[in-house]
Amino acid sequence: MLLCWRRQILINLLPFEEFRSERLLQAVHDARAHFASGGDRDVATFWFGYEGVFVLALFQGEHLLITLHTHASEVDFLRRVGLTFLDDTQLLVQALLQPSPDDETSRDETQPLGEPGVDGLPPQSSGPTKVIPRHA
Amino acid sequence: MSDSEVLPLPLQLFTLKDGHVASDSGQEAVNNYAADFQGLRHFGLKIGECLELGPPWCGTLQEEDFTLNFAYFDAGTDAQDPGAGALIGERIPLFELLTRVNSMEE
Repeated sequence: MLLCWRRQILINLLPFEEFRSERLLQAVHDARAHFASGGDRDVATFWFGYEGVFVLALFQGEHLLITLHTHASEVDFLRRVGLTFLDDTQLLVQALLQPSPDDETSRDETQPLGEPGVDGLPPQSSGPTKVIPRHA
Repeated sequence: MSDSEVLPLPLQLFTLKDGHVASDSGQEAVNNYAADFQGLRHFGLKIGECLELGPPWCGTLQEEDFTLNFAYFDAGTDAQDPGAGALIGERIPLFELLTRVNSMEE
């Protein structure tokens, strides 16, 4: 399995050298760009059969999932599983790349630190400091 | 049916022989299929080269409302080998279309 975001590899579990996975990623993207170049075509799935192995490439948003499998009859099941996996992955990667507005809101709602005192130290709290002694 | 509704492309079948594409669906359909078939096979070859898998014996592309494939018979992979292909204006199971094309082998 090879999981990619745009033209970057996120997870590579293919049983091949890294450079082969990199070339595979570029070739699949080139294939999609080839068919899109004539107009508004948007190929979502490529599936190729080779001697003893099949290559299934699924696009979802900016993600690409490439899976190798051995039985042709598995392909539609793997396609559904792959798209579900990409749905979940998309949320995780987007959360990392683009923090949601909720995060900004919660940041605003936190209590800001007070202005430092004249001596540059944080202001003293009006209440007693709760010190938990290391040894009772 | 309103004028704005367009019927999806029906299933169209093609034969591959001696490097030529033939079909009962008309010359325009053959030309369109041949262009997609050549592109699909080309990138199937490139992907096979990347992983040292050799040339593909079958290939499929699928869009939102379009599916197209090809398959060579008897484990053939050469451009001159006999095979078949199909296209349809909807998203159908990939294995179903491959099975349909394989059944064209005489």
